Amino acid sequence: MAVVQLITTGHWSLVTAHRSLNAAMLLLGSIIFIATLVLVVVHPRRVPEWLAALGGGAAMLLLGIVTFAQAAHVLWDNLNVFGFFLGLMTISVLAESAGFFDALARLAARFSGNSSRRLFLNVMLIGTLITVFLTNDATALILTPLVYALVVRLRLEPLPFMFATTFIADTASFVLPVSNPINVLVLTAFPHDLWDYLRHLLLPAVLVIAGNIIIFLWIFRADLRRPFDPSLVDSAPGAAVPVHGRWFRYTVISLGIIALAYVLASAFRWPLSFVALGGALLLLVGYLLTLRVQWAGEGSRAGRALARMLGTGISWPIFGFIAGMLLLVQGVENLGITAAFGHWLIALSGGTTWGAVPTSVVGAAVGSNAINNVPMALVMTSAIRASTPVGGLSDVFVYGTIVGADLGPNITTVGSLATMLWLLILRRRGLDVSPLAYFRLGIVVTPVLLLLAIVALWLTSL
Amino acid sequence: MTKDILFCLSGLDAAQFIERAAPHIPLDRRLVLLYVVDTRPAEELGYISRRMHGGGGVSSQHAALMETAEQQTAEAVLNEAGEKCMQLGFNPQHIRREIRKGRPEQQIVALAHDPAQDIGLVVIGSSYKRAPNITPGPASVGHVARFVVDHSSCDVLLLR
Repeated sequence: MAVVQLITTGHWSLVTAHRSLNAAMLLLGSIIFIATLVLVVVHPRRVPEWLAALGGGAAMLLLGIVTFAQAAHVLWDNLNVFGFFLGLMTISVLAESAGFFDALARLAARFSGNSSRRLFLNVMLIGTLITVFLTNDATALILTPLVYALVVRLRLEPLPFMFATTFIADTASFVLPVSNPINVLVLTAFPHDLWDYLRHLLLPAVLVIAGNIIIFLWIFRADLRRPFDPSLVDSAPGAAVPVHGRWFRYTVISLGIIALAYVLASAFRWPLSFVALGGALLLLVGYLLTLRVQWAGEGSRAGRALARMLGTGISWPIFGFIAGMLLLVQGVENLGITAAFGHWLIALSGGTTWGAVPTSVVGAAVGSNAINNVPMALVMTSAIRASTPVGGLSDVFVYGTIVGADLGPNITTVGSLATMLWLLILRRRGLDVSPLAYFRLGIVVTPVLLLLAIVALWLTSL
Repeated sequence: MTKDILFCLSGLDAAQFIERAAPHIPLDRRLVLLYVVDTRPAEELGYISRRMHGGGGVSSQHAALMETAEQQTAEAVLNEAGEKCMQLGFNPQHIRREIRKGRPEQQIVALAHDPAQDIGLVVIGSSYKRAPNITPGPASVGHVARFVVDHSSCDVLLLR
């Protein structure tokens, strides 16, 4: 009897100790997760986001919340995402060096006659096209400065045009799986074929793009009344780099092939990173071959120029940021936090498509503004995986997450709460900062677009 | 000694602006032709690009491209205005061209208040957005002109 009591007491102590350890881990893991997100949002003392993310991921590893084997597994599973980012950024840098984006911006002006309204519409259409095949980053980061330079030369008010390109970059970013790296991140965890993707998201995407264009044409109607002098389009030297004709033609043909390959890869569920990296290789070879001919006798000038261009044009910290975030979110998944969040989302949705669409869209959109759409998409993905919604509800949550994380960042437009806080800090220090015109526009327009997307996603999910 | 006249030029038809203001200005006066590069749009672009996945602000290459466009446009506008002034009979020796960067309304007022400049009259269009077909009524004066009227200590000639 005494022995049994001793064993029982010992067992009870072990169970209690185990529970205490779990509770401590839960607490520590939560603190690491929240602290990392705070560092990413506030970035005190200019701590870069990638360092904060990697620090959070490393802390999860060191505490044993994520094992090294699991970390290797998670990173290996997401090689597709890393490859896609690398290939895509290389393609964008090389396409810009060929003058591709500049040529498109000028084309928009040439097909506008002298009407600034038509130019505005053309810029939005070109922004849509670039976003669909080369992602929202290419539109916001490369097309926007070129459009700015163009409209300044045309002596038009640049702000409406900048609003147009940066908004459409997010609005058009769920037309195809390749239109936003977030889509690739979510679809790597939940593979869907292109037809299923299009069946759910094509109608919402088309409606939201049309809605964005119509709303902007109305909001900026006063700015777009004035005609411009078309002769100024040709007088502008404009191009970021001297354009080499043969390299430009090669790039246009290659981008056509890459776009087709993206569609085929999405249809047959090939990893999109293969297409992005293959496309980058195609352009790299073309760059070296066409420009080596031009620079014959000048040794490795083309090679050096290429290395410099890729070194500065590719955002290398993004790889550290995503790797850190993957480990961090794996940590909270191991602690059961994302499963609890997923169950809460399912309960909130009432377990129906009617509830799941707004819950996932609004949840991802608000979260993307509160933190950042990369960690938010990862948290949503983990929550869906861990809570395993039944039937078609999982698909609805996946597509809702894509819509919310893609479109949502436009609510605060200037880049989530992180930038908003940064701007407020600057203003407190007496620095003259932006009047936040973008924020005023985003807070009014994005909820309308989100509502349009929700209604359309309801229709396609029924 | 008569004071100088400050012409605030925008991207609109600079020659037409000078032509409309000229009847109100004696030909012997010294003119300052001012073009302010509005830095707000470029700043907004900086905030936007920070949030993109590949963004760390506007790249130096793009910033240089944007700056070149701004500078060349400013020079073109000032040259058009300068030529029109000379055609109308103003003394070329009395025409000074000035390019500034910042908030247009603040730069105009700062220049008008600068004792070294000796500005006696500011000439400005009533609205960049609504020009050239401005109808009188509420909101017919844009925020730049309104700010200049509110804050300038010297006289302001507002062109419709």
